[in-house]
Amino acid sequence: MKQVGLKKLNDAYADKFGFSMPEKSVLSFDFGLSEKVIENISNSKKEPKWMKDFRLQSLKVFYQKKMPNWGPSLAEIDFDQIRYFIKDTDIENKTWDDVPKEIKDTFDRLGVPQAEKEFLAGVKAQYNSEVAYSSLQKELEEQGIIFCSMEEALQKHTELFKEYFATLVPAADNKFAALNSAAWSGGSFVYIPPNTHVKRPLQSYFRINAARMGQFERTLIIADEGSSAHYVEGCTAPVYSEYSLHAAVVEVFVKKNARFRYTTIQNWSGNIYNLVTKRAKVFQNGIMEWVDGNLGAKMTMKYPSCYLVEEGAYGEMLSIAYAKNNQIQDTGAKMLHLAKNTSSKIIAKSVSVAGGQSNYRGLVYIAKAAANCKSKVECDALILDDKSSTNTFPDMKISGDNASVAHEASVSEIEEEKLYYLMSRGLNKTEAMTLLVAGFIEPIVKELPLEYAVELNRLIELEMEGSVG
Amino acid sequence: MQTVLLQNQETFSLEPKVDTLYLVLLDKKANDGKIKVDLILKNSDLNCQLLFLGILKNKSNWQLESNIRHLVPRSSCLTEVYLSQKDESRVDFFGQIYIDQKASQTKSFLKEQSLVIGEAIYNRSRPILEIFNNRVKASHSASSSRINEADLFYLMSRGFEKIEAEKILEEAFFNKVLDSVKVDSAKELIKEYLC
Repeated sequence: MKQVGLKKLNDAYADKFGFSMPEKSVLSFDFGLSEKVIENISNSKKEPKWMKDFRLQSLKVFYQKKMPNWGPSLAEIDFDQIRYFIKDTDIENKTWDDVPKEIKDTFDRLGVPQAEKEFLAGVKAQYNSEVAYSSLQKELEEQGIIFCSMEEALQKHTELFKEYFATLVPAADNKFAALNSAAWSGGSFVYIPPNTHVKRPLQSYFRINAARMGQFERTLIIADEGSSAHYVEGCTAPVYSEYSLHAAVVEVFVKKNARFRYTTIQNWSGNIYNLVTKRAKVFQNGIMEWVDGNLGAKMTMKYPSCYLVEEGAYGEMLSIAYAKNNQIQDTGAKMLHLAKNTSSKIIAKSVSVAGGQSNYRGLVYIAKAAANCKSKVECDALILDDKSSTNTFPDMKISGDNASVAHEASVSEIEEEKLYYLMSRGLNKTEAMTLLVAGFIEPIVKELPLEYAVELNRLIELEMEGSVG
Repeated sequence: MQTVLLQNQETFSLEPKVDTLYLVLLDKKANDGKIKVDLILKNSDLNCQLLFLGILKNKSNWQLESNIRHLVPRSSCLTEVYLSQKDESRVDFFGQIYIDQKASQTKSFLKEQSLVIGEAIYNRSRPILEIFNNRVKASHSASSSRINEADLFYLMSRGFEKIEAEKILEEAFFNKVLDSVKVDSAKELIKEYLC
């Protein structure tokens, strides 16, 4: 482990992810939210009337809904001081050479084209409000796999789009889902045909470049019967003194005997409010796995859920939250057992350091009709100093017959004995603590594709260097 | 450690000065009830235990709440809830452990176990941890599971009626609790309750 040139967290983040590019948008609207702005977004995308109506109706719901009265404070968010749409390119490019220079340079610095060459089956790169680059390996296209922007899906795969869009996360679900439904732009549409297996991951990369901007992408995934695939998303933003808002909606449909894994490595800069609604509906013997790494953002509120609606469905959540420098990571998972013989597992690990606060908030619900269900929840929290804190707020509601539910949570500090052992072998305190943190989160990191696991360990290492010792 | 039986009230606000085991035995005759225990640990080097025991009969409905607040260094508390749930019984348990920023070297644990014997039961459990100090050990666990079918089958194959076999397994569940209690006066109260 290197001894020289240690950087503080913000320096390290700013170097690798926190840079910004000059704003060169081809279309943007002024600050604030109104019917006019929503109509303009819809008009700019040449949407059918039903979508424009859906947006306007969602805006009404947004105005009616109150801010959440639980969880961390969102009082700072002023919806009139946010830009809701910034379009930086007129077309969704299919080669990197066609992508505008500033955007291409951004994704080059983030290593997206290189990752695409080395190990991805397809890539979407979203810059501010719209997808700037998209690709899918030819053989996958030939198998009938669809991986495109939501706008393209709405135009080209209208029936499929309409059948699933907003059926799992309706606008009325919560205030930020309503906001997303009104102002959505960009995001990925994925369709995996029956019995098709995508061996390499599909990746979307979300980048906010502008300050005081709202990114409201929407992701819709349908894994048809007997199929399997792995989708990965990453997110970063420049370091600004003003906040930005990311309020995404993700809907995943896992059909009979299908298996889908959705991995997120969230590394927003420390000025982003990350308020995301993610939900999966799992059918007979389907398997849905959420793998969620939350390292960045000023505040994250995210509770991916699985609706286990048919017999034999399985939902799993593996999550890591790393809260530092007064960040709040309010994360968790929801497993709703709505059919018999369904099962679920939640493993959540969190690390709090340098005034960070990590909260686990989760729900296991077993409906009356759902007999013979099993669920297991494990939450482990590590607090590295006396300025940080951690909370767990689990909720288990069991009505179904013959259910077996177990929940365990623990909070601890790094054991002096282990620290002493490593330091007696020549490591300094920071290196020893980094190694122990890496060991703590290892059960989840090992579930990531190798390239992401290496990157996540490196990120944690960088962040520990600036935070402890 | 002294034993204190908490009874005849819905709400208890406790600030122990000496090591104490607080015992809550849910009224077996009552169809429903509500019990809330606030236990505030303001003295260092204090060890406390809070034990809820309940045999929930058909259609009984209970709301239980425990709030353990550690405000000074070096206190410890073990909160345990053991319930057997029969047909259509309902229980809603809220258990909070709060460890203040000043309360270093605190140890606090919460354990809730429900043994389900009948059909159509409802069990809601919210074990909450709020930790503001890093030099602590805190954990909670909650589980709810049906009486083991293999154990039931074994006993029934030895000639016991189903209802008798269930009774034996329920007794075994509570005997484990009895074994874990180290204070004789509390043991006597629990034995009396289980008879």
